[in-house]
Amino acid sequence: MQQIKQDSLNEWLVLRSQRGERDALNELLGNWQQRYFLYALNRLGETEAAHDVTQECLFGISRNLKRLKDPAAFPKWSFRILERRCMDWLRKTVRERKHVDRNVDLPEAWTNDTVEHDMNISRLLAQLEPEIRQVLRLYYLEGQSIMAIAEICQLAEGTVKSRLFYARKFLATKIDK
Amino acid sequence: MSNIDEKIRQALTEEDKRAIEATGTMRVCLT
Repeated sequence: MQQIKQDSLNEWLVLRSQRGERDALNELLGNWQQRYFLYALNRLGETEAAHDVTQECLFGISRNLKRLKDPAAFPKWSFRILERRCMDWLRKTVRERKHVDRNVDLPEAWTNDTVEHDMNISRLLAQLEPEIRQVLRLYYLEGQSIMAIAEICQLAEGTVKSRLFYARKFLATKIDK
Repeated sequence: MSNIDEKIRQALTEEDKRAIEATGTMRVCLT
């Protein structure tokens, strides 16, 4: 019920923002900016870069919001903008080059039996590749569907499903040990 | 939601809380 309320408020703010109401736009972006920042921080691993990318994303949203036809699609649409900004930053950053490889192999931890056993799920999550964690965040924290995550990350739906499957399997195996 | 799903969600939420504590809240003014 709470989620439905939030969705309705969000759509109402989108519609008002599209009509040019500045206070509605500020409220809308204020409600989302922390989530964008945390996504970017997780994606980029640097606080300053996450702030910059989030700011660029917010400006991108405010500039293009009038083009959004379906207010209910705002979360997916805005995360797509954010993901594009993150990818731009990663591409420009040589030392993060491995992050832009979309054909990333499964983390070694998934197949390597010598990985130290650790019951702490947070530490286990940290062992996962950024591409896997990105999918987990969108699925578990943002409540995005498989189809929406595929659009946001520009992946095949099958890839999203397999990343979720392997992450669950990896964590379940380690926790059950 | 299965047990593992709930544990993942909780761990990610805790991770965010720690990140906010470490970095502060994000505030951007567009106007």
